[in-house]
Order: sequence, then structure tokens, then C-alpha cells
Amino acid sequence: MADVSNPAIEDAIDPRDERENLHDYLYALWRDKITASAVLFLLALLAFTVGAEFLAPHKPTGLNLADRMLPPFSTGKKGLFYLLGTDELGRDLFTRLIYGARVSVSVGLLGATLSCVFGVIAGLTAGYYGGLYEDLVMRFVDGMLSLPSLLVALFVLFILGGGFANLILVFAVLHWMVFARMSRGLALAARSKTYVVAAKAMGASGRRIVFRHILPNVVAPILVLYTLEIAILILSEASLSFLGFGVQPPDPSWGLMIADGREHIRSAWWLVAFPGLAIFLTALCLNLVASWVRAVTDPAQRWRWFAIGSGGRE
Amino acid sequence: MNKPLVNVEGLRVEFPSKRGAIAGVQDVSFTIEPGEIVCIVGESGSGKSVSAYTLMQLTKFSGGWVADGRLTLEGGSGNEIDLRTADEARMRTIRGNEIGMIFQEPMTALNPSYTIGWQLAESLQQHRDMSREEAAGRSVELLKQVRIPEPERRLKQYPHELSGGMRQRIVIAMALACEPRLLIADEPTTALDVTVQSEILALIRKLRDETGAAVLLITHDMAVVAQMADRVVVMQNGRVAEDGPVEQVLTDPQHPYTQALLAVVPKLGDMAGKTLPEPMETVATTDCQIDKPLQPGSHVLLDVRHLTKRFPIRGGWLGRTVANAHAVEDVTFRILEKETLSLVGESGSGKSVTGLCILRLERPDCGEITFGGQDLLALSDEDMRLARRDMQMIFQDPYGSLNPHMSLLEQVIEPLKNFGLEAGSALEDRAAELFDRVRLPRAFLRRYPSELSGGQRQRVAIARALAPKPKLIIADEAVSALDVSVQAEVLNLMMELQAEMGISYLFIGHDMAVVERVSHRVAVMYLGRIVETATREQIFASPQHDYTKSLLAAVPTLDLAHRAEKWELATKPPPSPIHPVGYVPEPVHFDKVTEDHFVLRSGVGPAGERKYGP
Repeated sequence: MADVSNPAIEDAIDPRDERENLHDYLYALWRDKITASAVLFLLALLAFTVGAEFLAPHKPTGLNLADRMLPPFSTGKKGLFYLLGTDELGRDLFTRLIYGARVSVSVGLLGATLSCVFGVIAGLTAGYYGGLYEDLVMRFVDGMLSLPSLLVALFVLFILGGGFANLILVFAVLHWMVFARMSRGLALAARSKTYVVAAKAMGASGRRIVFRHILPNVVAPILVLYTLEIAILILSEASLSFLGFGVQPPDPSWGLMIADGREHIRSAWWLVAFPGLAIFLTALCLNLVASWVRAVTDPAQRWRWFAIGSGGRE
Repeated sequence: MNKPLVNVEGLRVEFPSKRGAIAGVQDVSFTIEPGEIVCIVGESGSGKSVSAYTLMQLTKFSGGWVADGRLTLEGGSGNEIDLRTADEARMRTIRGNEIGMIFQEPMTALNPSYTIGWQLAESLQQHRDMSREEAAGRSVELLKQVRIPEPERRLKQYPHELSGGMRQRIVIAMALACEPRLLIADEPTTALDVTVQSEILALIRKLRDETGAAVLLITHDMAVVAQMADRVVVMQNGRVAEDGPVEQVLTDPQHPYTQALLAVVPKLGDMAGKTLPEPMETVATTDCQIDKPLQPGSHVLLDVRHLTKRFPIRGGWLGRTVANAHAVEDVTFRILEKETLSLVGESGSGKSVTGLCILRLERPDCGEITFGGQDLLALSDEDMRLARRDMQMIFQDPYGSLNPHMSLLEQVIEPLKNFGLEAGSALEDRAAELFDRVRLPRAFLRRYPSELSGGQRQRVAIARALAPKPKLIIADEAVSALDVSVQAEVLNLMMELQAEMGISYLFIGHDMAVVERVSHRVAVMYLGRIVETATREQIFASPQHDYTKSLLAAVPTLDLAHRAEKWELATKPPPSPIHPVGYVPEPVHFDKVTEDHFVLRSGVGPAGERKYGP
């Protein structure tokens, strides 16, 4: 049924000479309520991360042993309100979530971006050029993938010392292979596409074909992997911080909060639930927004998002 | 015939768009009598597929909905089924059961992961409650019905093991499995070779006679209509232009659109007695401006000698080469300046690979290619890249050959950038000029390929190929995917450019009527070899090789008196071009018929299949 759509749609599109402007994009976003909420969530997250000092209701490291382990929506002894409750040291969970977002989100974003860039460059060139170069790159990838990553991370961080920059570096080194493998496959498939052969016939150089002709056409699946990888990195940061090689307490991070809260999960579920929810929502929203961006920037698909009338994407 | 099987009245189907709902099809009415073959003919975007797909409620998968009209199917015992309002559960019993469907592309209509037997049995077990054994038995019967040899063995095979024609027969067998009363065939032969096409069409007619099922055939090809239809519905821009019995529509068309459509169909033999190519007739007569005859020069531009390309087939342990697919075998030809050489043959004959080898997009195994005095096979990769400036390529599929993520401006200036021919604002000026040249509005430069029709896209591909002012353009099935009227326009444009800029063409194609129009000389390829080569006139007036003759005989015509009846033509698969590693093919010997006319002597082609078989 692959071709059911073509003749019909070709008829129905009114080809446009004017491009969509910002207003069109905002309107399309407004009509897609789920993606719109995801965008709002991410904007809010960004605002909280940047303006944590002004927006957080309490101090992130402010001990208050009198108000330990309060459930969400409770008021402490001194009349302080705790929206999401407090932890075993009486620190406000909501405040710590806001401050934790700083570490978690930047570790996730930077780590995933770095590994994505390395991996995609290696994978696309390997897939397009093939031959000995491809063999070398891909065998190296296989080798890296077979290393126990947590152990390597511990070892490297032990030598280099913990901390934010090293953490990101280690993540990039340990996570680029997934991107490499995937983009190699995509490049292999794209290599035989007519437009790639055509580009070669038009005298395009290898580098131009890889980055100008192949890359824009394979961005979609890479974006999806990228958003998933952010969530994975946020969690990896947790395990490393838990083992004492990442973010150092009492600085909060979402992963560290989950790790700390684990001990009390029977008596204080909120200590684990809310950081977990934050990670989940962030990953989900990134994913939704990524897929929306992919769709509206795809020249063949975007008309659906700007189309008016029932029967479109509702 | 008291009651029609299908009745469509005032159908209107709408699709969403940026400016609100748009009618893809409006005010369409037609009926299908039991046992009748009705052809819906029209160009792409005319709404012919939409009209047929609504019968199965399949338009909703592409976002469309029926806005108005009545669609009914006669339910067998006098009752009427309303196809517009039937719910999904009801439709499932109708699809496959009452209405069978044959799709265009037999490659994709079959699931590659299951055997033929499994796929045939599936619908039988679903709709007819048959046991496995019963279904297997019925499957064998069905395969016999569509004239597939050795049906028991086929059941255990996978789709990729069969040829395109065989696969289409299997798709037909699947459509017939539950003895539907209506078969919808959407361009069932468009993806097939001409010789296979005539078989499949004859088979569909034969099956109609045997089973009494009505057929709704969607096609863009007037020749197919002439071969098949009892009644014709001509569609244009989502409306019915004309509706009537085939004799009347073809011999005495009333609507101007039908007349135009019939006029542009290239007919074999139109060019008899003429030595030089001539422009095609088009709907818009002012379209083409060729003032001088297309006289070729005397210098050799491209000289190809003993070109051979084999693709290794790897298998077994360690991926060693176990056999070779002989794609191009000892091919020799030359192209003069301002000359068009047509390379004709069916799929798998090696004609496209030959084109790719000349541009060195595939590396030939041996042979010599001299272009403008330069030995192309001796060039370094970088020198070869620069050499491509003088030889450009137009590909068959205008949907696949343009990068979907690049604007047309970027695509057209791509070769200029790559060869460093222009820079800065000169790039845009040149792009605008090229768009003028291929008669596309300049505003289109900002568009993306998905916003253009097939013909427009092919014009972009031509503009792009023209950009570096090449001496040779390799046109690989450049018009095969286009509607006839568009096809004529694009071909005329190519000829016009030849007259004006002195371009040579290597025209790779399979449509003999088109080839007759455009070429100075013709080379016929079969199984990787050139079997006959001559001037255009000689090939069409006195074909010598058996394969050339069968190719010419298979071209469907508008002649109602010569409906093909040879449904048992080629039941055995074509000989395989795959040979074991040490295989040495027979040397080529050409017999000289006249000056410029050569025929392959050794045993290749339908007559000599024995020698080439495994």
C-alpha cells in the first residue's frame, strides 16, 4: 500500500512558493497539544536551571533536621511549606530537583552531544567510504563495545580524578560507538540511493557527499537515539556519582538523589519517585520535541503539520 | 445484465492542505457490470487511483475522506452493500473476499520473509476457514490458474527467487484466492518489461473469461487500454472527462483531453523512412523550437571497447567469491558528437550498468573507455571527478534522484560549486537561467523536490545536468517514469538542447516507440551483450536478431484488432547471467548485415537460450 498516498496527495497539495514563517510554526505547534506541552516543560526546565537561585523556594543544602522525611505537600515545624517533601536531612526535595537539573541536564546534553558528533562522523564516513577504513573503525567500535563500560569509567576517573569535565569526557569516549554503528548502517543504505549516485556524477567530493547529501537525510533516527542517550547518560551519571566519582555530595544531581533515596524507598517513596519522574519527563519531552522538529523540517512531510482540515494529523 | 456490480455516483474525496480541504476527486460517477473490464485512464494526479481505492476504503490511509457521493457493491444475492458507510470489520470481509487487489509493484506487494505458499495460504485460511492441507491444495490450483510452471516447487520458494513477471502472477493468484467478483488492478504492468507486460495483460483477460470476475484496471497507458478494456473512463484533474465503450473512445474520442491524450502516444513506425530524429507531438504545439535538423557530427566523442563488468557473488565460509553475475560482457560502441545512441533492452540486460561504468560510478573489470581523447580508466579518482564535468547523467526516477532535503536552487548549483565554475551571486543567476531554459518558473528555485510533480522534477534533473555545459548526457530511462504528455515535452526539450548546444546523448530505454523518435543509432542489449546494432532506420525496418524482433513485437499498440492472445509466451524464466568463477563466455562475433548494421552471431537471445542456461 506504499503508493496509495502519492497520486492523491500530489493532487491535494497546493504547492507553495512562500515558506512557512515563525507564526506558521507556532500555530502548527499550538495545534499539536502534546508537543506543545513538551516544549513548555523543557522551557520551564531551562528557566529553573538558569534561574535556580531566584526560583527555588529553599536552600539546596540547607539542613533542617526537624523537618526530616516529610511527605509531599506538608508543612514543617516552622511553618515552611514543602511542595515535594523533604529528604533524610530535611532538605527540600523540590529545591534539590531544581539544582540537580543543572548537573543532570548539562551532563546529559554535553555527553550525548559529544558522543553523537564523534560517533556520527566515524560511522557515516566508515559506511560511505567502506574498505579497510571501515573495517578498522568498526572493529575498534566492536572492541570498545565489549569493554565493561562502568569499570572503564571508574578506572579512568580514578586516574584523572572525578568532576564535571572529566565525567563528560568519559561519557563521550564510552558512548560514541552506538552512534557510530547506527550511522554506519544509515550511510550504507544511503550510499546506494540515486541522489547520492547523482551527487557523485555531478562531481561532489566524498566529504561533501557524506555531510551535505547523506547527513540531512539520516538525521531523523540519529535524533531519536540522541534523546534516548541523554536519558541514559543522566542515569549513568547517577551510578558514577553514587560510587563517588561524579558529582560530589552535598551538591545535588537527579541520579545522586535516586541513589540516596534508595535506602528509604519503603518509608519515603517520594525521594526516588520525583527525581525518577524528572528524568523520565525530560527524556520523553526531548523525544517528542525531537520527533516534531524532524517532521516539520522534512520537506516531504511538513505539509501535514501545516495542513488545515480534518483528516490531517489530529 | 440487470444490475451493475459496482455503482459510483457523484463521488467527492477530499484531502487536507495548508489552505483547507481540497477535493482530490469530484463528481465522479461510473459503473462496473459483472464480468466487465473497465479501465480508468489518466495521468498522475488525475485522481484515478483515489477513485478506485475508495471502493476498498483505502484512501483514509493517505489522509483523504469521502465527502460526498454514493458507493455501492452488489452483494451477490440482490442486496446492496454501501461501501461508504461500511465499518472496518465489514470492510475486512470485503477486501480480498469480494474485491481483490493487484498492486503495481510486485517486488513490494509480497512479503520477502515468507514463502509463496505461506502467503497464498494466509488469506485462504483467514477468509475460507481452510485447513493447512486444503489451503496448500488450493494454492497449487491457483498457481496453475495463473500459468506458473512447477507450482508445487514454487510454494516453497521466497519472492526474491522469482522473476518480476512470476511475482506479478503470484500477486494475481493471491488476489484471486477467494474468488472475488471484482479485481482492482493498479498499474499492474507498469513496473514490468514489455515482453512480460503483454503476457500479464493477456493473463488477466483470460482469467476474467474463466472466473467471470469484473476487472477495474487503473493505468496511464492508452496502449494498455486498447489491449484490455471493454469500457474506458478517462479522468482529468479529479473529474471524469469521458466515459464510454473502448471502440468509441479510441476511434472517435469526444472530449478534447482524450483526443490530446491519444495524439501524444508515440506509435511504432511513425518514423519510417526518416533518417534523423524528430520532436514528438505534444498537447501544447508551441512547446518545441527546433529549427535545424538534428545532424550528428563526424568526430567520435565517446569510444567504448570491450567493456566488461561482473559483480562477484560471495558466499560460503569467509565470503569468498563463488560466482559472478555477468552484468556487462564485452560491449563495444561509439558515440559521435551531437549524436544520440539508444541502448535498449529489458531489466537486467546491463544497459544501466554500462552507463554507470562510463561515468566510472561503477568500476569496469576490463575494457577501454575513451572520452574526448582521454582514457577514463587511467585517470586518478580526483581527475575522474573533474572529467565528469563534461559528462552528466539523468536518472530514471525523478523522485529518487533529487535530494529531498535540499532546495532546488542548491541542487541545480551543486555541479557548478563542485567544479568551481561559478561563485557568489553568479550562481543564482545561472540557476535562474537554467530554470528558464527548462521552462520552470524561477520561483520554484526556493521549493523542495516533494513540492513538484514528476515531470517538473525531471526538468530540474535536466537543468542540473546542463549546468556544467557537458558534451555528453547519459539519460538512463530518463522519461520512463513520466506521463506520456510530459514525456513528450521532456524528450522535445532534450532534442532542442541537442540542436542548440550540440550535446550527445546515450539514451538508455526500453520503450521502442520513444527510442524510434529520438535516436540516430540503436544498440540492443540482452544479457549483458549487444546483440544488434544499427542505424535507427535499419533496426526498425529490418531487425535481424530474434531478440530485437521479440522486443518490437511486444510493444503494445492502440490497434484494437491486435489484442495480444499469447498468454503462454514465456513460462520459463530468462536465462541466468550468473556463472561460476572460472567461466569464460563465448567470444563475440558480429555478422555484418549492411554498412553500420551488425548482429551478434553466437548463441545469445531467445533462440540460443540453451547455450546460456545453467
